[in-house]
Amino acid sequence: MVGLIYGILLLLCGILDVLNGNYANSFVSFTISAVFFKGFVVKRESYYVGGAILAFTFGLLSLMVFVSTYLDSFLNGETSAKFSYGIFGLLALPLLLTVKKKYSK
Amino acid sequence: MRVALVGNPNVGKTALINSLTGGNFTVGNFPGVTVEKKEGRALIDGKEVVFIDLPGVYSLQAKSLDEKVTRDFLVKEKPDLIVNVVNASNLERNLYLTLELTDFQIPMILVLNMVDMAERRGIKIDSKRLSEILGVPVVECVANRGLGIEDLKREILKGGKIPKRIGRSFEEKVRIAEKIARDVVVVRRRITLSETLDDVFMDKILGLPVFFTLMWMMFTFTFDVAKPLVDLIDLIFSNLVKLISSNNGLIFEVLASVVKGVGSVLVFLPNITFLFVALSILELSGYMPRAVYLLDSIMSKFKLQGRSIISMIMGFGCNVPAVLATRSIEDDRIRKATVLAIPFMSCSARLPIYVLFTEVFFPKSGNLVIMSLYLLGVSVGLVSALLFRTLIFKGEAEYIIELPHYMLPNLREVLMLTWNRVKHFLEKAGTIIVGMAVLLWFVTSYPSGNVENSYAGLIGKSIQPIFNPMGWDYKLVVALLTGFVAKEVVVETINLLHVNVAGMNPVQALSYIAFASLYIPCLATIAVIRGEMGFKWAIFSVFYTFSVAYLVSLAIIGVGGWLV
Repeated sequence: MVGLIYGILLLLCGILDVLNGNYANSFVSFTISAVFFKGFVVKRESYYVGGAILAFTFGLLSLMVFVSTYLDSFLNGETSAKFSYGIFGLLALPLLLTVKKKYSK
Repeated sequence: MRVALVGNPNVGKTALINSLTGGNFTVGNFPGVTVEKKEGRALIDGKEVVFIDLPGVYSLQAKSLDEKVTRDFLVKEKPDLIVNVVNASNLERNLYLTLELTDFQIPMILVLNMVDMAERRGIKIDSKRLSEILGVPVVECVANRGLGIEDLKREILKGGKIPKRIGRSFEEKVRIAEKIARDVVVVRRRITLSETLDDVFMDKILGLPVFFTLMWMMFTFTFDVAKPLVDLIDLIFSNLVKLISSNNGLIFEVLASVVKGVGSVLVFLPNITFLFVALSILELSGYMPRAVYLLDSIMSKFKLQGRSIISMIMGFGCNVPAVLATRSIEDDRIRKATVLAIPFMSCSARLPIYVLFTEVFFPKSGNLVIMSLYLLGVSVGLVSALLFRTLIFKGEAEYIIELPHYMLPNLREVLMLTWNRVKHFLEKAGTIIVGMAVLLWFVTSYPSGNVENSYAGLIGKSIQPIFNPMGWDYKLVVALLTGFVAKEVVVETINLLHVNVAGMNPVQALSYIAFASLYIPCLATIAVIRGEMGFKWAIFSVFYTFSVAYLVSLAIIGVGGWLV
């Protein structure tokens, strides 16, 4: 079930990024969503682990891009920033922490 | 005391030299070859010890350049001690090299590295028994966390022991390695996180999209996240140039030109640093060998290896580190073909040229035109590589890919690796750019004050007839000439010479940007090609890329003229 929820979340992020014309980021979201969906279909936890790592990394990167493009525009006397819905990948942190705990035992 | 670190690839030798020397090591080449050499110094109880990190090899049969360099070093340089670094998770495979090393009869210490990871996999090694069998001290280590380093230092001071010579022939050594591993390794198998991750990263269908996902993340990190730093450095240098230019006198003119030239390179330093940080993370995490494996079947159609694509992708950022990254390709023929294909990869410095022209001529389909230019570069690069492999660097190549375990990269190691690479880039590119900045100032300022009647202008006018079929203005030719120093200078020169870009027709514009995307590599790239392949091939690269760019532009003019 966890895989399905995260799969749908990332799928939505991808669709929203497509609607904003952000095709490359939507490709990333769709790929991560496919990883979660495959995990759900084949019922293997390994896909949730990989998906969680990718989703969290992408979320963190989207946050970094948002902050740095804001800083950059600020340096040029404007206030704008690049936003990607991939930032919601940060929501994979709880899953990532659960996995980490399990494998470090 | 001179200590040689010898081991298979990916056993953590770099992490070990890092821990032993506190990061005090330099990266260079072995004399006469382009195999990377790391050398570091450390004071252990007041005694100076020099560590030499030899290339990672699976055997010493001198089949590859790395094996030859390692073997030659041990035979000719005769170090005082060999530290044989072994991956504790894969003892049997590593032991074959260990048995070959016993033939040299040089004092030796065996380091069982990454014992923590082995334990997590349920592998336990009886190091006391292993030490008795080989006749050398055995030290357990976790180099990237600094564990076991003090024990190793103590053993180094004792000087190691001359090993028992075990096995004569290849077959005998393989058999003995298997037997030793069976004797000393106790396995209680557990499924690890590493094996779990391979389900995803090596998935038959999802493996490639995941690879492209990671590559896109790397580019985003390199360009978007580094952008404020790029702009900050640009701002600092622009103000510095303004400050210097406000003073009169020849010395200030030259100084302003040098600062501007150096600034034009340093402005990309954040991009390069971020690119290396991302690549170091991918390398240290153990993902790179997986990417190589995934892409190998595609690249083999062009007679290249999976490893070639990594260097080529890096070329989108900057061709200089991309050429240096080909060092990881073991086969020299494939490596050379890859080096010569890299200049066709559109580096970030060419992007301003594309943007300038597409904004004027293709405002609605700019992205498509720019993406086509990137694809043009990749296609020309791959076809060229196939040509080089078929005509010049002939021969089939086989190689082994070892898939190491995934690891969470250690921050200190990432920063250390990045710094060593950035330092190398700064040393090489910095010296050339300073010299060229002075030269550029001279040719655009003399014999008269304006650029049009300067040497650069005169050269542009005399070369312009070559480009008559394309119908480009001499000023555009001058811009291409200055792009020889660094591609970002092309747009700067176009602005400086007040070229009316809108005066061209779309076909001419397209042929110009296609030429700019393929022609002669910048000086820093030529310098590294010379370093990697020699002067002859650097010159060849200049002429080859120029010819290809010229033919492609001519074809665009021909086909475009016919269509319009």
